[in-house]
Amino acid sequence: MNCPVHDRDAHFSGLLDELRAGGHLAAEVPDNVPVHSDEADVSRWILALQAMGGWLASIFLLSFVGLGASALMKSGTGWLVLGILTTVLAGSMLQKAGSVFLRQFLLPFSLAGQVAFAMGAVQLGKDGGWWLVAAFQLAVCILVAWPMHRFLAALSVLYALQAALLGDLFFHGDRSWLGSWLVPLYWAAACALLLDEAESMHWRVRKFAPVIAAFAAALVVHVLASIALPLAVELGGNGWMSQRSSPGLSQMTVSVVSFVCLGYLGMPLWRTPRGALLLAALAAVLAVCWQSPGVGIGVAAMALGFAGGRRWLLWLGGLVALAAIGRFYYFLQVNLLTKSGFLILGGSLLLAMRVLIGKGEADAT
Amino acid sequence: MNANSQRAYLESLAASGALDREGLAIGLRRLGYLPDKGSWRRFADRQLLALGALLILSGIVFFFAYNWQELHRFARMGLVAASLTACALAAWRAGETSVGQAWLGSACVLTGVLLAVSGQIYQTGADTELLFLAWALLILPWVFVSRAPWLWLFWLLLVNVALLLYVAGRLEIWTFFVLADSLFWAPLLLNAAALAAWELGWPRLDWLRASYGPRAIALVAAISATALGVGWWWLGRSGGWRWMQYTPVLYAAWLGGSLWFYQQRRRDIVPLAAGAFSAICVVMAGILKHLRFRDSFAVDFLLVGLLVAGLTAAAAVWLRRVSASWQAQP
Repeated sequence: MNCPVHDRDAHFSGLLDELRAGGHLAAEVPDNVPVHSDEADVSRWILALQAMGGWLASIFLLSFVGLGASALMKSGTGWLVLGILTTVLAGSMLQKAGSVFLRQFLLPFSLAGQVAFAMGAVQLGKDGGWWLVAAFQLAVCILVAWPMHRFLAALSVLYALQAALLGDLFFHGDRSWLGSWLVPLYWAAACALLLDEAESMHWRVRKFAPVIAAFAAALVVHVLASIALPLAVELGGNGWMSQRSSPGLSQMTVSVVSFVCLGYLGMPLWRTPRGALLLAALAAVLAVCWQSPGVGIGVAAMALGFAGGRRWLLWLGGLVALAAIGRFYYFLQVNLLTKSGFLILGGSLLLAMRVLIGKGEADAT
Repeated sequence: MNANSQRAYLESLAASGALDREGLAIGLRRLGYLPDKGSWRRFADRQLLALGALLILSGIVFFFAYNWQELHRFARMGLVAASLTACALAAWRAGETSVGQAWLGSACVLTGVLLAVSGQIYQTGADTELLFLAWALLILPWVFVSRAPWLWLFWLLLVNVALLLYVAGRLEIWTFFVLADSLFWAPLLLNAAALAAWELGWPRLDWLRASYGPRAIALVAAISATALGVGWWWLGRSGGWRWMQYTPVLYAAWLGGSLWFYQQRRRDIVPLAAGAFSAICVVMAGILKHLRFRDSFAVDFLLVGLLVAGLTAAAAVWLRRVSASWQAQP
């Protein structure tokens, strides 16, 4: 039978043979490399049904476990013990779980265990407890080899580090100035990892590549959330984007990092005179909206998502860029008529950049 | 193995040391994950075009918003009517192409804008659902000639909104006390009828064969049916909801009909999965209603959790068997 699934498999087998013949792929594949699961070709709608069913079932069973273990939840130590037990049990079962249903069923258990651990650690260790949470989540990220679980654990590490450094999860308190530098720092790290993946893949051939990949995804999601969430609650005055103690320098740094990232990705384009003009226009756009650094972050995330073939990043970046552009125009201290002029001017500039890219390409060929 | 699994496999090979950097790059490029120069150009071209057009259009909207109060009412309506006419003319010139359909879609949207503007100027006092109903009726001829499935979905959305605004928004005595359950059955009947009409046209009309159309309607119908089923368990024996005894028959007819049709007649896994999940939710709602959670809280939670797990596993096994049987007998 000549169906597309078999064509695709045959094409992939041909690719592996080609890589082997070219000396890129070892003749013998190590035993610890996971071969595709039997669920790889199941309709995603069936998988979605299984995932929803898994979560629904686990919510009721978690309530059952929670009621049974309520005696333990009266002290920090109790929370800590319960958290470790639940996470270890769920994590070790996740390692062996083959079906989507089982994995999605165990995930809330593991997450509940991690939350219980965090509650115990913070109750016992106050601010220092967050360092313990970060270390615990790092261990979970390394030991439980399922990409989604790793990503969530890596995200927890980043938030725990933020809380440990700031003394608070949400950029409040005396050390909030430090928080204003965390986003640029996280963003620079995310750009470095994703650029390397798209360009040279240095870390992709390391033993801990799946863990690094989880951290790369978590870093970029953390930064996008740091931009998007304050946008949503902007009027409440919370978050990195709107805090008064945040020096403009950190927002400028973010825009500079985004510019460097975009500049690096478009390197071949900048070598022509038109390309140089384009680079200058890009720098001008990012400089004009430096107070809305989400513009640069969103556009750079889109480019990184496209460069690495990660569609989710492309869409997330696009949404953040649109929201940040909206924020930029919303907070412009001019009347509606002038705003409309700026919008038309901005749109015309982008269309001019498009023409420049097209002409640059034509010149190059 | 799908494309994502192939990528994951190559990355696992690289992390294990079996595949080198160059090989990984070649593999990912061949699978279409790493873009070439042409893809980059197209990507930049589309993004700049989309964002540039969006900003310019927003600028135009802001311009009119700034001057709106100063414009005479004829000028306001004239602006919208002129845009509507221009779109309709452009659609007529473009003919039966995707561009023509896009112009016709714009004309359909602008019809609603024209109705809203006239309502704003003349303060007719009409109910909101009438605006949506009039909108749907006025664009119906254009929707007929468009032969565009997405425009039919848009039309159905307008009818759904009008219906929901009518049954939920108007708290008139007879609606609230006698037909309160119409909130559930009305959208179910509307969307089930629309789905039946779509499926009737499927074998006869080429342009109607866009799988997203019936899938979207089937999902909306499944949500309405689930709300009806859950509502019957929880509300069916109290106050104004006492008329819901018909629910088991209606729900079973919808579930049985859609499962039979999409398994035996036109094979599609999406309505089957939606039906299965709906059935799980309705069964669970009934069990939760009867457990009551009074004396043995913990055991009740255990029972419900195990039951959900069992039902989901059974549904998944059945769906995978159906899917496998389709592949075996194409």
